[in-house]
This record gives sequence, C-alpha cells and structure tokens, in this order.
Amino acid sequence: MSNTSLVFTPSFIKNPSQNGLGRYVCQLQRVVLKFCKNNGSSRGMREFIEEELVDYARSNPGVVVYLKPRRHRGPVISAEYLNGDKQWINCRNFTKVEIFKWLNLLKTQQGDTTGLRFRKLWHTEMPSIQGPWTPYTFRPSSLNLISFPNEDLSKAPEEESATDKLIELYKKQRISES
Amino acid sequence: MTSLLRNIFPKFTCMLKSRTVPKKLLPNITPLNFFSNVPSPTPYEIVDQNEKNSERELIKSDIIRKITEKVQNEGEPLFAVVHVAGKQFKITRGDIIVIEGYWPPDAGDKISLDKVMIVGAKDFSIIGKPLIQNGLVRVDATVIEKTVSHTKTHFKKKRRKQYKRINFYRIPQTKLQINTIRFVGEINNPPDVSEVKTRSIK
Amino acid sequence: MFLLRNSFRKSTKVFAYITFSINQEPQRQIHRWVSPTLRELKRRRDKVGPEKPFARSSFLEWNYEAEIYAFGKRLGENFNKDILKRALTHKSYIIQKELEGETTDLQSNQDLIEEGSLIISECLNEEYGKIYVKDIADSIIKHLTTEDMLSHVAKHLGLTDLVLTSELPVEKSTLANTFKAVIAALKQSQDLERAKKFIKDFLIVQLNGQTVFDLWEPEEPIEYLNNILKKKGIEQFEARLCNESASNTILANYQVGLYSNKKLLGIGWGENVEIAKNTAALDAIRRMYKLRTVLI
Repeated sequence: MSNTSLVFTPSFIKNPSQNGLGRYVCQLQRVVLKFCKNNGSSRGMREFIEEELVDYARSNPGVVVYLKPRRHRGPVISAEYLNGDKQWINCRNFTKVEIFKWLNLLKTQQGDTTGLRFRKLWHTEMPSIQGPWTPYTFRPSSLNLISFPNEDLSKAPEEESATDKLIELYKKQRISES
Repeated sequence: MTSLLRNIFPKFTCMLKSRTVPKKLLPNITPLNFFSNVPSPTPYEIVDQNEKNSERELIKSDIIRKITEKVQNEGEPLFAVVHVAGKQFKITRGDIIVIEGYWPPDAGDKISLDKVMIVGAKDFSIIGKPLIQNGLVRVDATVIEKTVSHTKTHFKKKRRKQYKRINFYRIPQTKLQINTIRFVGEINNPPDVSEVKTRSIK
Repeated sequence: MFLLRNSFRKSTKVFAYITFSINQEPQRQIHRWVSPTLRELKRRRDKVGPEKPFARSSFLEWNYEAEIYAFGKRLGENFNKDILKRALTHKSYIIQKELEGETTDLQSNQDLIEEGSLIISECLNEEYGKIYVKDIADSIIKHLTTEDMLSHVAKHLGLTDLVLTSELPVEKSTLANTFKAVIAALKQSQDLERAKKFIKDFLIVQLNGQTVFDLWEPEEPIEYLNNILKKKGIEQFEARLCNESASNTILANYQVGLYSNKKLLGIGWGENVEIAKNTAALDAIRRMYKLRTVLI
C-alpha cells in the first residue's frame, strides 16, 4: 500500500455557510444509490431499498434520493453536499443496517471529510475578548502620580550583600574561637 | 491569592483590571495600599482582611454595580468557559467546538450549555467555584455536524515474540456552533430555590 | 481516442481492485503492475487536459420537480412551486430555448430580481441604518450586497444546480441575481416578514466574527474625530502620552490617550506616537458612536 492513502491533509474546522448561526440546514442535498439487481454483493442494498428507503426519504424531505440500477457493478452510495463536495462509498457486501448507518452519517455531515485531519478542535474568529497583553496592562495606577527619578523606587533592594555575609561568618568564627 | 479573594466574596469572585489612566482624571478610585517601596506587579485589588466589614461590603457592591452596568450593554462581547462532555472549552459567540466520543444530541438540535465555569467581558471576569450561579448566564448552541474523525491507527508489537497487531478506528465527533452567550439573571442574587427548567445532556 | 476510452475503463478496474482489497480480507501485497498503470493513466489524463464543465441536470439521475420540492423543505420554507420555478429561470435560458426552436411558456425572473434587490436593501437598512451612522451603515450594506457575497450565499443554498441558465459553469452574477429572485419569490409565496427572516438567517450571519473596523475605516481618523467633536459641540481633544516603553528599539511602543476637558475620549497603542494617536482616535470614534465590537 502506498503511503499516500495513510497520510491525511491537515485542515481547520470550517463553516463557510455559517450554518446553525441563523437556522440549521441539512447540508446533504442529494444521494444516489447505485446497485445491481442480481449480484449478491448488492443484497444488503436491495433489502434496504425494499424495506427502509421510503421511511428514510420521508423523514428527510430535504434530501433528494435517486436509485440507479446497473448490471454487474458493485453497490455504491454517492452523496452530494451543498458546498459542492461529493462523497463516494463502496458498499460491497454491506448489510441493510450498515447502509442505513452510512446514510445517516452522510445526512449529519457538512461535507466530505475523508482524508482530512483537523489540527484543532476549536474554531474562533475572536481569539481574545480581553485583548493582548501590553507592557501597560495591570500596571498599578498609583504609578501615575509618581515623578521620576524617584528616590524610593531607585533604592537598592535591602538584601544582605556577600561582604556582609563574610564579615558575619568571620565574627561568628571569632566568637567560637574565643 | 484566589483563596484570599474567595474568602472575601463568598458568592462569587470578580476582578477588575486596573486602568492605566492618569489618576487625576478618574473620579473616586479606591486607594490601593499594597505597595512597599517597590510596586507590586499584582493586577488585582487585594482588600485587607482586617478592614472593617462595612468598607468591604461597600467595595463589593461597587464592583457588582459596575459589572451590572456593563452587562446591560448588549454589544459587549462575552466569553465563557463551559464544561461539556468532560472537557472545558473557552467560547465566544460564533465559535465552533468539537466534542469527541459518543454524545447523543443529533444534528440540528438546539441545546443550552449549563455548566458555565467562567464568564467575562473586556473589563471583568466572573469566576465560579467551580460553576457560576445557575441561571445567571445562558449559553445557546446548535449541533451542526455529527461525523467521524480521520482514521487513527493503534499499533502493538512485542519484540522477539512474533506478535504484531494493527487496528484502525475512527472517533465520533460532534460540532457545536455557539449561538449566544448572554446574561439572563441578576448578578450575586441567586434565587433561594432553583428549579430545573430545562433538561440538558451533561 | 480508443486508447483513452480503454484507459478509463481500466482505471475503474484498478480503483475497484484497491478499494476491494480494503473491504475484504487483508491482502498480502499490491501487485507490481498497479503503480506503473496508475502512473500511466495519470499521464494520459494530464495529456487530454481538464474535463469539460458539465451541468448536474444533464445526468440521468436528475428530477427537477423533486429537486425543487427538496429545496424548499431543506430551508424550512413553503415556496409556491410556480413562483420558485420562475425565480430560477433566467432570461438567457429562455433565449437559448427559443434559438433552439423550442416553444416555451417559461417566464424570466427579471422582475423578481429587482424586487428581491429592493427587499434586501430595505431589510439591511432597517437592521443597520438605525444603530449606525450613515457612512458606517452604508459600508456594511455594501459589503453584504457585493456579487461575491450574494453568490457565496446562493451557492451554499444549493442554487448552482437548480438555476436554469445558458451559462456553463454558472457565473457569479447569475447566482447573486438568483438569490435576489428567490427572496422575492419567498415574499410572494409567504410574506415580507418571512423574507426578512430569511435574509437575517442566511445573509446577515455572514458577518460572523467581523468588527466594524474590518468593513469601515476613516482615512484620517483624527480629522474624522475632530468633525464629530465639532458637531457635538465638545471641546477640542488633547493628546497625551500615557506610557512608553522600549523606545529606540524595534519593539518600541507608545500609548496615547485623547482627553477632552480632562475626560478620556479614547486610548490607543502603536509603534510610534503618530500611529498610537490614530488608533486612539479610532477608539474614541468607537466610544462616541457606541459601536458594537461585534457586528451580529
């Protein structure tokens, strides 16, 4: 197997039609079920068409369902989305239930995502509400009243210096010796 | 720091960013007394624990009043941190989030996300412990897509044991479009008894 | 040509070979001939050039009535079938039919396009004319009614396949016009309110994530602010440098506040004082007009 079929195109979540922001529109516009009337590999597909298809079409009036019988070819589901994507599923030897599940998946999808890998599971147009940090963010406002140079602020921190520490050590030594 | 603030404001905690505006020009700002000789970098107003109760109450009501005023402005964009299906998301209006794994809502369903942990605007944040008061904020979302992730591989191998397995799997994914985040309740005034009005899937 | 046709027939076989191998029991290998065959097919296809554009309606599996029915159901609207069909029929299609010698009783959507265009501008004016001043509202409306925007919306309503036109592929202007005609058709089938709701749900939502200053920006913000202040009778502003940091480096940044009568009008940042002043002026304009940060 060549490596290309294992590598996915990295992409980000997109919703170009802004679906769901106003009202939700099912993005699957039509689906074509292609099958053979004789061959065993289309058996599940034929069963689905006989038993379930009318219910499926009735419950999804926004999806146009076409049937395309053709001799000696494998069963196929071909789906078309509003954004122009086409998805093709080979249903060879699929059972009735499998076909039902695939059709339901196609109905709830926004487009063909096969071969895509989402780099992030979050999409936003406004990454920050409170704004980016600037050197002035969170600066205490009392600094506004101070005039520079300021004596208090320019004082060296009151820490023990290395010299002080040495003298301290020396003194301790003297005490312990005496 | 957080625990300190929690002690002061028992119902919720809020923070006001200090403005970098010349102080002369601003009316009545509460004096901040947290400087030694070096200005502390802390951005928050820390209220002295030993201060009188009444003064503390005054500051608290002042902050609540300011936030309530802000909330009234509908154009103010809000953000929230919500807890959905075991994960936390930072969201604003118009965001899309993806929930991984089995999750019952179907495409086209409108749901409200009730577990709000943080809600904030440009100048304030309200932080829950862990959730903010029920009924204060309403976050509406629409399920726009139910799909499956890309094919992932699970490869197992044991050395020198002639054991090698490779499994392929795809995870169910649900995409949520955030419709609105808005204040519906009164800040810091939760009802004594709250009833469950809507059922939501947590 | 024979070779070519043969090659396509072969290609389905190769494709079937590969896909079947995935669905059935795992296969040990892919035959040595698969890769060179695919490469050869690719070479031949490249040589022939890209496929001619085709209309979806030319397919065997195409039922115009069913598509029209599903269109309304999908969007959750009750269209009058005849009006909707008329909205989708362009003049060029009727002319083409007449040239072919067919007699048709089809009517073109010319009047619906004009009516729809009026409904859109009325709805957008209602939405933005009241809350924003004229030049801001105008630029928002202009952004929403461009051909690109309308055709983008029309495409995602699934109109590309339904339109009756002589063009192939369908042009953007045709799609935009069809969108207008569909809105007029909705008004005639139901009522104006419903049409406005439709515009809000499909057209206005396209502003998601945009701010006012993405669509409108005064060329000279400071002069613009001065004009506003004059009109409102507010004292002339005074710019003050509030903060500066890292000056004389490439990370230099300045913060400028604009004050009028000791009150802050706006505050802004920039890599030099001039830019900071301009951004502060924009901020002041935003506060003066009470512009919403987000548009919808």
